[in-house]
Amino acid sequence: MIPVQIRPDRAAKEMLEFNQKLGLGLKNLINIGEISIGATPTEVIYREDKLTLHRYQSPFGEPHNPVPVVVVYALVNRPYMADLQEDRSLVRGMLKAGQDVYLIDWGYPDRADQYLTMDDYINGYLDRSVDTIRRRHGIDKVNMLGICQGGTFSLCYSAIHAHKVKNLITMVTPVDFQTPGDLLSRWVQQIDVDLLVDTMGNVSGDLMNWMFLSLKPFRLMGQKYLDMVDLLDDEEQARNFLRMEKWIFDSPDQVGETFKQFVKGFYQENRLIKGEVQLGAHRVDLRNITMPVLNIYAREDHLVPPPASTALKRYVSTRDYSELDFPGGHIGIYVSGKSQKTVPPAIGEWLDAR
Amino acid sequence: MNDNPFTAWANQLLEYQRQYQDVWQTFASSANGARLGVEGLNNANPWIAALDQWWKAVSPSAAPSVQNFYSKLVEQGKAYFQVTDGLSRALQQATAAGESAMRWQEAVNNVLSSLRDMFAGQRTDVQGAARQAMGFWELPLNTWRRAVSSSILPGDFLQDVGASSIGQVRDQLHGRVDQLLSTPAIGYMREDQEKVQTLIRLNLDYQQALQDYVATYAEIGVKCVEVLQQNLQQRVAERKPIESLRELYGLWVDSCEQAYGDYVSTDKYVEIYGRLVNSLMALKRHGHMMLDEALNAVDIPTRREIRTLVHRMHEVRWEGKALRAEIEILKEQHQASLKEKQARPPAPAVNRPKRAAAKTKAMASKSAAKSKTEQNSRTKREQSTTKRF
Repeated sequence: MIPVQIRPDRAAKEMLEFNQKLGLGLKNLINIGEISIGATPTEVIYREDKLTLHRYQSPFGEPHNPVPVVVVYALVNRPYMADLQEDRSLVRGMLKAGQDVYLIDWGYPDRADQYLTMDDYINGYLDRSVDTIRRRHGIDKVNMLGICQGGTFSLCYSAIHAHKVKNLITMVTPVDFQTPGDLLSRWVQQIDVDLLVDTMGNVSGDLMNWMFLSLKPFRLMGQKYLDMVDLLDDEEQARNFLRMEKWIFDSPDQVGETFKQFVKGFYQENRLIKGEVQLGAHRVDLRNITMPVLNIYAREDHLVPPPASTALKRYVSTRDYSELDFPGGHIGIYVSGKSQKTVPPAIGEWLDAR
Repeated sequence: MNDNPFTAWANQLLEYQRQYQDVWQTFASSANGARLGVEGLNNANPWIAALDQWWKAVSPSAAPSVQNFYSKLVEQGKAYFQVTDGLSRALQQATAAGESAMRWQEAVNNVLSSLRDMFAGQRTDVQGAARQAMGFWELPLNTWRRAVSSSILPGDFLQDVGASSIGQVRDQLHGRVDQLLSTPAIGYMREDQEKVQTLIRLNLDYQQALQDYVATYAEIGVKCVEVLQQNLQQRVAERKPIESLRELYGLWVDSCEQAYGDYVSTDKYVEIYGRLVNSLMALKRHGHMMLDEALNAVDIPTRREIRTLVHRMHEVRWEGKALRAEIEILKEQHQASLKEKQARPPAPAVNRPKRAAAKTKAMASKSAAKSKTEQNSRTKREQSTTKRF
């Protein structure tokens, strides 16, 4: 049998259709106008430097869980991924599940911020945000949900300030930074991070994008756009695609000092699981995490492979540890239709039960 | 936007379709088809020309944001046409000519070996058109170039040198520049001369790292063709022929990702990748240092000075934040202790006189004892003074 059996007329038809779609698609695209991001209205609760603490206003009435949950996003990319659009929103799903949701937006750092350390972020900004919520609600402890690098920050915070965290949820969070198959980790092993940060100050978002896109270049920089042409005749789908595209390339620069600490201490030296991370006066010991933990990971995550996340269970002391295995990728876990039906309700149920 | 470009273009599409079929059939029946070179990949595809023509006509009317995004789609469309058209025509030429299965295998091997040669840089004659034909193959490299384009120094001045000759060019360049750089620096401007020499050395190091990085892509390309071949064989084994261009494109992308994924996790790649980033950073840092010296000479604040200021400002601000936090804690503690005092129930009144009386008595006896001690010591001092004199 011959493996390629494309008839000339079929090939010509495919090319003709492709060109027609491209032509009609441009008409649609021109009419689409501005792409909106963020679906749920928020109230600004606290600001400090470039940080903003938002509280989401629930369209589903008063939350039934009296303990609010604070979402700690990564410094890489923007947190509106958690509330991209109405039908693709982790935040909205959690509000629907009766949770009171706060979110920390770290903002866009510039050169004036280049000496911010992880200590400043975790024991400074994050701690003051948590204190603000605690005071506001008159409670001792909050629920915390950390996403990706924000999950690692949440682990550090919960290990140091365990008395302020009632329940901890980590999503696609790296814990063991040197598991097999962790391509990102492999790539940074030979990089002189001191030299990089000394040269660049803050690390540009473009460089970060290049690294992330290079993980799967032919799919993420090629095939994806070709598939997009098929969606162009549907205005709503085109809008969704463009919204996602906007998020992907909306990459804040990374604060130099924190980037250095994170890449050296976590990726190159894997200090978190060794109990050797020092943040200011505090040493991060994951054994101090005794509160209930829900660890959510994505089975097809190419940025944080599942073993990098699931390692957590070996290092925490909590007796109430659960895992949620999502059949999808690093981004799909927030925005796919499947995740909307499973992830936020599971989080809500887990929190309500504690 | 005016609809005319769309209409005119749409009318031409059917004509392009007719031309395309003609080209395909001529190609398939060609006597030379048995030995297909990669040149064939990019020959006579009117669709690419049509796409270019259309985009030139309509892009000025689109908003810049739409233009940027749509350029990506158009580029990918062209890559899609080039890759699938070339591959599919080549891979099934034997079918069209009614060749045997064995002859078909030979034709496939010819096509793939031609592609391998191209990636390995052994066919400099096809560097231009055929490399473009594999369009999206260079995406990671192009993205790297864009990411580092903020450098004050030219990104990759050797990028247009063919992969096969790059080693030779580089060696010659290094040899000559090394001669220049080995000139001893002397005299009053000695230090400046040394800095320029270092800058040139660092630039050459970066160029070498970049070329090594580019060369890895040639190796990945070869692997990619091998994986494609395996995947095609698997299709034969599964009796699942590819019947559309999109399917063929998907298989090509899968093959590339598979080959790429295997290669970029090797120690060799990790070393080259690290060297690429490190050498660029070393070059940029040296450039910054030289720039700082120039700024200093004209009394403009340098990068280093500004960083020092930013660092000091950061320290002061965060000390201030820490102090404020401490004050807040002290305030809270103070308030708490005040509240505690206020909340404490008053002591029973009946005990007060007794306590007061006891306190007074104790104070009186303490005072008496104190005055007695003072009197004794005064007497002793007086006695002592008396003795001395």
